[in-house]
Amino acid sequence: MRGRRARERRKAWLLVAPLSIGLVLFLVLPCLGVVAMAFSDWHLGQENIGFAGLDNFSELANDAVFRRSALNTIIYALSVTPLSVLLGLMLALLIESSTLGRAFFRSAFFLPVISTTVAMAIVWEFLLHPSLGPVNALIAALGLPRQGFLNDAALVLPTLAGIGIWENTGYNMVLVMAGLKAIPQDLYDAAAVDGAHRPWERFWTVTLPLLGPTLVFVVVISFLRSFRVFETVAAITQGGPRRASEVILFTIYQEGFVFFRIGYASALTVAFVVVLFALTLVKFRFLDRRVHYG
Amino acid sequence: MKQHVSRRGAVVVFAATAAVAAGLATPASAQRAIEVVVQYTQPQIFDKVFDQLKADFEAENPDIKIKFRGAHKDYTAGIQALLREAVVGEMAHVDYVGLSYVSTIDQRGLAVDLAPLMRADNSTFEKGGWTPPLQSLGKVGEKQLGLPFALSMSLVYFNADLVRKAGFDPAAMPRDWDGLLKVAGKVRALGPDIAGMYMPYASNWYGAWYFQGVLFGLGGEMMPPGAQAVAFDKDPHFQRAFGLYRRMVDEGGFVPLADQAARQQFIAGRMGLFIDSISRLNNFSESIGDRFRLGTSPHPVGSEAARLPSGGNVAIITKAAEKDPAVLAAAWKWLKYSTGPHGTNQVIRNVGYTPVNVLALEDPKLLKGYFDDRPLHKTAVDQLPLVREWFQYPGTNAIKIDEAIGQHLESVVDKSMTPDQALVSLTKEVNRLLPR
Repeated sequence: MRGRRARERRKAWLLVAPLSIGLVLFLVLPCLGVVAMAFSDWHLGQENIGFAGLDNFSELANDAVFRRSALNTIIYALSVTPLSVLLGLMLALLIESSTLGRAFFRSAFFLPVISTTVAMAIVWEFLLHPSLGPVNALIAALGLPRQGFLNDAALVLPTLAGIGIWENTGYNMVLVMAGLKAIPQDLYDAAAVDGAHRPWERFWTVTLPLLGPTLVFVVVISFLRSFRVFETVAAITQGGPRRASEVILFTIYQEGFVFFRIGYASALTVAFVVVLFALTLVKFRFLDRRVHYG
Repeated sequence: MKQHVSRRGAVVVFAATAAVAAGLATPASAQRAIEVVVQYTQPQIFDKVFDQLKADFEAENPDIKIKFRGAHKDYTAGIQALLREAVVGEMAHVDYVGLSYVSTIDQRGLAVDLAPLMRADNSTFEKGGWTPPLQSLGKVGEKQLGLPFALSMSLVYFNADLVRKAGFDPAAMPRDWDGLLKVAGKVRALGPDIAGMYMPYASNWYGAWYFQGVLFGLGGEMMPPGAQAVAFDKDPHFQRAFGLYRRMVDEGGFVPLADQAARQQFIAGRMGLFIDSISRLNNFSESIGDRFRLGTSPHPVGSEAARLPSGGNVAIITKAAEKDPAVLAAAWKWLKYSTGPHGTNQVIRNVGYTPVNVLALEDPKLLKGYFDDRPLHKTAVDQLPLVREWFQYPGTNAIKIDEAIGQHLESVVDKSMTPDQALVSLTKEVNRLLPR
């Protein structure tokens, strides 16, 4: 008996070994490397590497650029997440409620997700161009003043958030659709027997509670996705004007690969991951408590 | 320091051995071609040039094979890769790096000093067609770390139709700032969605390169030689230069935009003047087509001592080539070829830029007479005597300082600071970033 269990255990280890080795090699070790470098003063390409203690972290605490970009990122994530989840949910319900053109709408709204963000960013830049773009042509035709959506420090972050919502809504929609498919029809029938006839009642008593787990997942995923915003900023604004659109990943990229300050960039990364991890934990805890798992 | 001396000694020894080895090994090397690994950037610009150079070079030197690594997208990506490769010991033998990174390469000790190799050839850089200003671009202290391959300078592109409409003669564009701002202001007044002018200023760290054009054009210096700290707020050249950015907005109809958006607007024919690098010439001409008549005029200057910074790239031989004297000798041969008259000829004809080797200009088979019927391109060639190095601040924060300059210019342009306020703030920040 015991020999067999040991054999099985060995087999189990053998089976997970390839994955585990890969994980350690390509995930755990590089992460530890980043943590180690966060305590160094290393500049990319330099031969000597020195121990910097907590210097990087104390610089981080006093870095106005980092504070600005952290704040921008939070504002961005807090506007993109709720709106893209809500819109995704609405679109999913709308499309699933009728068979008319379902396939077409589904792919139309999913298109932004599969298209290359950088290419789309350039299209957006043109659409929003103050004197050449169609959006401003429309605004001017209405007799309103042209707007520098991407060049005005007050408008740039909301504009980027708008692009983010456009990009994430389709993704959330597909996830919600999958959740909708998993709701058994008999529950709707039962609700109808109990007197829930109006669509709103059915949504409130059946759809939403059963969609709970999916929605938690969607919220967390789209929060994490929007926290990682980078491409639109790098392709269009480079964090400008005057850092109004500087986000954390862009700051890390600049420090590490434009200024070559790997030590400091690593410290930023560590701080970023810790915060993100903490937020995710809190979210799951908080939302889990209110979710009904069927 | 000691290490540096011994390294340089080693180079001389290597070079000497290489010369001897090359002489002795000719019959044997016919079987075994020496491979030189070459790295460059911006395939869309340079692929054609390098393919041609490789074919010609290998035909002349059958014992050397040139092997290209996949080209990086831009200078930033190129230097990032080089620095990473330096860590793991996998640098290419010859690399074409952005001019702003010469001091980075010096600090890391990644490149071979070319001067001893030239001496071992019993020749000089002057004899090879590299004038002192051209040499200076790849020089740090006494070390000649690289030679220019493709060289760009700023100049004024203008929409000749709009300039004429505004009442000026496109054939007689002013060369001073006052005159140019007047032209731009009049163009601006032509219509509500027509901009006067633009020059890249802040959207990236290289905004500082264009700033150096303004400052050097006024006869200024980014940092007085030998100084340990800066005092921009008390430097009359800096005051004038920062003041000019505000005047461009107030008088010249300068629009605060991102570079790409501004280029689109110029190409669409809704902007008068665009100060940009000569490397954009082909790109601008092709995108504009016959939408309007494109003109170029010299970069505005305001001093007898005016100079202009160069952009573009230099060819270096990395320390990776030192391991094998035969490879070092072959790499040196390729470097001289690609930055020499033939390389210059290919770059100018295929891409644009300004000539990096004066011998090419004297050879009727190469570039002599080439610019006579190309007035747009010739403007840049005429500016060549003004060329000087792309200034880099000392220390490891050099690029960060460039970015700080860009940020402050942005504040001047969008009027969140006066030029004087910006200079005070910038002085404080740069002094914090300079090495102590």
